[in-house]
Amino acid sequence: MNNSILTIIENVIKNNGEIVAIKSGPHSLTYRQLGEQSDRLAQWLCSNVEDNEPVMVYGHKNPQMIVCFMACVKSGRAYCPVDISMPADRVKDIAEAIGNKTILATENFELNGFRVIGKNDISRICDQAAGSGTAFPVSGNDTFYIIFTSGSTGKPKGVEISESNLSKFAEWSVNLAGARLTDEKRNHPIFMNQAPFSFDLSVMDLYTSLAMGGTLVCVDKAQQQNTAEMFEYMRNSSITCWVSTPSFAEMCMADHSFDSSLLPEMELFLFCGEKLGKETAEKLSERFPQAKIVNTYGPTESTVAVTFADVTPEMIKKEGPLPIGQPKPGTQLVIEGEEIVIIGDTVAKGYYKNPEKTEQVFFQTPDKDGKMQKAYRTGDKGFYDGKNFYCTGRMDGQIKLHGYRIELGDIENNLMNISLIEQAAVLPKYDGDKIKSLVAYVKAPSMEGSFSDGKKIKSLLKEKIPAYMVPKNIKFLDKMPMTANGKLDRKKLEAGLI
Amino acid sequence: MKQKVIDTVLNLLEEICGDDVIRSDMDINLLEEDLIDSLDYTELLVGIEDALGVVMAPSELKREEMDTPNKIIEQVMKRI
Repeated sequence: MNNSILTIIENVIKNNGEIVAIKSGPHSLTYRQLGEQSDRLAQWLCSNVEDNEPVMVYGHKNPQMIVCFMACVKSGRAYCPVDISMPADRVKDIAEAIGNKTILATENFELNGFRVIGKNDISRICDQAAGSGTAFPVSGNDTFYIIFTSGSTGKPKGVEISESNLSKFAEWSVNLAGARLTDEKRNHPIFMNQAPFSFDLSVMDLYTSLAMGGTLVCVDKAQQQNTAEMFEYMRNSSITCWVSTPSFAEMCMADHSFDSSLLPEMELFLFCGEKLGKETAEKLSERFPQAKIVNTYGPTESTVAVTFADVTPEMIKKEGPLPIGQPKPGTQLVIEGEEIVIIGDTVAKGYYKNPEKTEQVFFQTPDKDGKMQKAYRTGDKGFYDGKNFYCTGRMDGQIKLHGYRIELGDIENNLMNISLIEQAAVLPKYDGDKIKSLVAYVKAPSMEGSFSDGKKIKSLLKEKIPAYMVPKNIKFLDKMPMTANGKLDRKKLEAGLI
Repeated sequence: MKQKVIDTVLNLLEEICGDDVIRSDMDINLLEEDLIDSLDYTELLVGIEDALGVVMAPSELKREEMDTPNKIIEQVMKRI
């Protein structure tokens, strides 16, 4: 497979057009429909949008989202997925950072100063005959998508993934999944999508499924709130490949009915986005003895995942954390000091319109064969035991909560922007080595510190940052602890000495 | 037995929610007040099973039946 991801998907459209490509609740779309509709929308973009900047695609799990993604890249423009869970202020920040005045929205959405092409307009465009203009799809080093992640300054930063990055990633992920499925399932895998499309874990299920000619079954936000309905939907969809954060699988396993009798077709669990705990892996292998479990690792800056480990009973028995395993072909991992550095063909172009931040962590270096390659300093701590790589934590204030990547500084800066607050610090609350929730310590002299004051701060914060970033608890302090040289004393806060 | 259930549920909730408000207002809506999320429910149900031997499956319960400390206690009592 040396073709670009778009060529591979076009081949599936040509050869397996009537297979369902995407299913989300009652909505579904075949490969033929995906091809036709995205061609028409791409033509429309070429004729009606002068801007060649990336296009924001706003929505949730409607199959129309994928039509928009495909249309953008077929028209030569990158897309930037933004989920409905993002608060309005942050959506605005992202729209302004991208710079394109046109936005595609598959859910109700308006934004002052921007032309929003809504769901009905998109449907109308997709139903009309295509125009005659020629579209030049993105290729090689052109940006394919931009995903925004939490930034320590309080503004999100956009990671630019090129067409070549994504094609190399998909080449590997298709081989990874294909080698672990039975012949029958390999011919038509059914992938589960749990993560919103604005979270790059979704790239693993979406593009692996499309490149394999599989069906992607999206589990939306509402379904995830209703376990009985969600399980019924999963069972009826005959899922064979599971892609989620470990947290989501843990949530499902709290129900004893979540096992191979509920999902008898399940053959493969692919995990990414956060640390896979041994207990989770062990419980899962007991519930699904016929399925394989693969732990993968990688930051958004290196296109979803760059290492993999097949979880074995020996690994579970061995002391210490589960390994993140071996790098994929085309990638090399180096431990510099304690830090994991990723070198290879899926390292991102950099941060969108942010050369300073890009220069801080991206650089060129010769790989083991002496060829110059792009490299990325992850900020993750890790080690190599001669057989496998391990990731042991972070070197800075970035954390993972339920698979979401969060900069504590992002929350702190947004707290400090609230006029009632003079000082703020956000700390993770641990259960063993796993982060359970976030606690914000604030100095807000004009507030009493009651439960309703905490509620007020949370609601003000929710206007600025996504709900998953809002600390569960707000603790009011008369005075923040300081170190001798005048810095906030996080250690004292962590030890609960206040 | 009821007192044991109340103590167990409140201890678990105080740990999970990180706030003792759940003791002073046992009708507080845990979901609306952002004191509990899907993963916290997982922890709560596992905790109840470990401490009291009562199995509560998320697929058998609606969120509205479990959104206050009092309602959670009531659901546990029903299964004892």
